[in-house]
Amino acid sequence: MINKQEIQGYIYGILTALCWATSPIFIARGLEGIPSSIWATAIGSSVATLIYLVLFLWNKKGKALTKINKKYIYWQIAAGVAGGLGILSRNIALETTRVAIVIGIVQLQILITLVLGPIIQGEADREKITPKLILGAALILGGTILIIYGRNL
Amino acid sequence: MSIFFSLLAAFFFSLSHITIRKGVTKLGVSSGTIIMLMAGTLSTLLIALILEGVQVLKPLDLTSILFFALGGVIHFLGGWGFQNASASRIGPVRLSSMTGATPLFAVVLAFFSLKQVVNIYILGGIFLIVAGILFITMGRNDK
Repeated sequence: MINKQEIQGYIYGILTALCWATSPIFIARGLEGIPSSIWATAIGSSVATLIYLVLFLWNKKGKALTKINKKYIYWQIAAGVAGGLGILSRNIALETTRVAIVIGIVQLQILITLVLGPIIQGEADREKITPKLILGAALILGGTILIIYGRNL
Repeated sequence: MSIFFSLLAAFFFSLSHITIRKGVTKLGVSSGTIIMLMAGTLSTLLIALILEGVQVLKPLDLTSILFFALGGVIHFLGGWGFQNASASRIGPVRLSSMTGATPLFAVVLAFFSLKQVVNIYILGGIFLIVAGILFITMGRNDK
């Protein structure tokens, strides 16, 4: 029997997907007026960061920043820069092609994570190779090739 | 070029996911998120200023700026917020199967809001990708 907390979790999961599908639509609309995917990324992340920063300080969490181990900050900065470059690349792609094509191909990140994870994180991050994993990887790869092949047909 | 940048986006997102795991587990979600957001914002602002300068924004199109701001807020605050709320209730594996549906939502939303139509190949490709994500998630759930 599924409990109330799980139902909430599934609803939030769907809302996450909806947000990630809606965001490129707004960016694509904005690009019609200002055709600069670089500024689209910079403005979007600046506004989000400002709001988050206000909420962060409002909840008196600023002190936690002074106590953290600097060794781990570098990883987090790297994650932020990579995330920013990811959104920038996605927005550049959105300038010249359809949203569905970009969002579809970007899902290849799951396969790339499976391959790069153990290289960067070490053996602990290695996924166990199962028939479902192989089938899933083949389907994602096949789907991406089909999108690339069919985009101009 | 659009395919190259879509693949590049997938690569950078993947790199981000992997490095997050190294940092955020030790820093906590709130501190980790603010550091990540600031790093991402500063790097993209720097790239925008160096490569394009502010003259691109003239004449100031406030509607476009509002759309960019909404795009950012929905992706970072909405998406990440719901992601954390969902992962804490059903775990990251089951969450992945839900977020795997993102391309399907994108097809429907792009059709209604931007009048972007996809052909049978693109639609088929998206269904294959969503099915693939579902299989990988099911495989992880079996462990």
